[in-house]
Amino acid sequence: MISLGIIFEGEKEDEKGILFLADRGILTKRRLVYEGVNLKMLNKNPSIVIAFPGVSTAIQADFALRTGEFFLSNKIQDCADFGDKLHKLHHCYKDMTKFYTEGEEGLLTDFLLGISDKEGDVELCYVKIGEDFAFEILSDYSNYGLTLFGERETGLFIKEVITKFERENLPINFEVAFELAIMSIKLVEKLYRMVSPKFDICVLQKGDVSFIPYENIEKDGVVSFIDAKKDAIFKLLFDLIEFPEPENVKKVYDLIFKQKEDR
Amino acid sequence: MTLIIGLKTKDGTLLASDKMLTRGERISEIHHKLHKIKEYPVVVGVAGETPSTQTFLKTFEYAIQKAFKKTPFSLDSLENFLFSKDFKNLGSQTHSSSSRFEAFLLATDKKGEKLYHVAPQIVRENIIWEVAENIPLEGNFSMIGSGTESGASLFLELYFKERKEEPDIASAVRCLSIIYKIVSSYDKSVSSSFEIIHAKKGKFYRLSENDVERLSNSLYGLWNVWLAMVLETFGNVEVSNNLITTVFNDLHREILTQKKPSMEKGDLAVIIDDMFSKQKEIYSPLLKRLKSYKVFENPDKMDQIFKFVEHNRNKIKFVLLDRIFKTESKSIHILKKIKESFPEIEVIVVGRVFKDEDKTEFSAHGANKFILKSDFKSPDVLEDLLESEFENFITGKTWRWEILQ
Repeated sequence: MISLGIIFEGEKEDEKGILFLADRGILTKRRLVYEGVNLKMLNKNPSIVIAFPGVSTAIQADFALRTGEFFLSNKIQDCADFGDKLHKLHHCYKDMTKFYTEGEEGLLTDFLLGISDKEGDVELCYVKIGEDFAFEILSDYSNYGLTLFGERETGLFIKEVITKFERENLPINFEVAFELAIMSIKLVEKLYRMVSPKFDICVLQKGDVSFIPYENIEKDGVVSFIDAKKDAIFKLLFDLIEFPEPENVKKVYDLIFKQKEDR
Repeated sequence: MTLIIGLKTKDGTLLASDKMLTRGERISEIHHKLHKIKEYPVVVGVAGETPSTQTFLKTFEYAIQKAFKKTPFSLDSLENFLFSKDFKNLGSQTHSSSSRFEAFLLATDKKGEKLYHVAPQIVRENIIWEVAENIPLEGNFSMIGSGTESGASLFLELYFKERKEEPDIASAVRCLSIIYKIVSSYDKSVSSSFEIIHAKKGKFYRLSENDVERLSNSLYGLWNVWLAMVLETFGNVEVSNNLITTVFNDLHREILTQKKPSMEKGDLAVIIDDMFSKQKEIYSPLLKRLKSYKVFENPDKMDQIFKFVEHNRNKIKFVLLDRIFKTESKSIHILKKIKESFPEIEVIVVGRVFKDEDKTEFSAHGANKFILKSDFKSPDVLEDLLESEFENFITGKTWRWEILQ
């Protein structure tokens, strides 16, 4: 029920990639399903991935199909081509939204669309299907995107971490995006019954796309490790709040982060 | 738009609210959102559309005064009143189906405190006021308003998850302070300024506005120190392992709970201001009160500042740093460098004006306090500056709680 995308920096300058993570929760009219894959890979060169939140799955499938057709019929080779034809996709989505929202109220579904080309360029877009249709190029102003369910809680954490990275001029590389994405979903997993404990990851880079299923991510205990780190991070925060004397805070910092240097 | 949080502590219950008022697209801040009912130990906080919230507030105030005209007030009698049909039916007399509000009622008597939640509900086409006891019956915390999903619930869930017992008041206040600061930076419908009321055995106390503001800025510094720690763990397995081992074995708590040997702070004030000579008149009331001070005026010789601070760290009472030491970025650089190496040194940012974004930026790098230069002539400000001890403040020893009548 939660999908998120984080733009990360590639090994070479000006090369970027996108990491998508979506949990396997799918909400149908009938029941809650915890085992659906919400990441749809549509193409390679450029690679295109749609990250769905797992609601209104028929509508989502239609949007995925039409998006794939749009890229093929318009012979889009890279992000620059995509930018040139953006208005067409906007019209396409808007027309589809009109069709689906007739007689319906509120939000039907939303999703993230990611594109990566051979040059190392990326585009991350957000699409909202409902009474108030929205189609935004997130990558113009942000390094991350989230679908609406649980967005505020996940978003607050991601925003704070990413802003701090930017403020300190530190690169958000693949490892950072990977950990941040898993940590974010682990933070809200226990708050909402509709979030599945399992999730998948898709990585778009240089026109290629790779899919990492949950089973592979967890195989070496990576998820448990990041979850434990998340718990440690927040326990540390709340203990600092309990004992905020600056001198002691500095000593704790040294204890945790300077041991390596001392050795 | 609002975020109101109720929280149980070891020693009473806290109710906090931001101060944002939304009128269409425009936002502004109001003085108080938490209202004490005259003559009764009940505080009301309402979130929702202004006409609905005001209607509730006034109707409730009138109803409680009428209900307890002859009956003595106690938590038990209030509970009987709140869960009575008469109270529920007040909804149909005052609100329509389009009314949108949620209210918290914090009540106290000598036995303790209780927090109730009231919201309109449609039952067989009638509007009733539905009541529930949130604290302590449902748990240790509860919240209402638009900001509840903006991370506030996540914070409090995590905060209470690990706890075996309720927090002390100072910790809870600090936690709330961080929540309001962080949520407001993410959700513009919640203001960073907020108020806190403490209910304990029949009485209410409000934390002074100055303390709330200073706390908010100070703790934003702590939040940023923590964020810096978080950043260092990303992509670094060794540091991550070290963090997990340290925290789960409570090794960090051994340090955090260490009592410092009482040590007198020095008398030396360091003043960093490129306009010092030109503004000596403004500084003069302060200079007369200082035992010793050292002034740095040349922004091109910042290394001298760091060497001096390092050499005299035990003698320094505080550092006064001009908001614009030639440029704002130079001031932030100095602040950052001092705080990274000597977090115990109090750095006070001085300036002719401060915008909210200035305070946020400087606080993010560890500024402890902000003082307008024009306030140097105020005896109260000077007293506070000279007597202040940041540690006493941050730990809550010097907070001023004002009794609410």
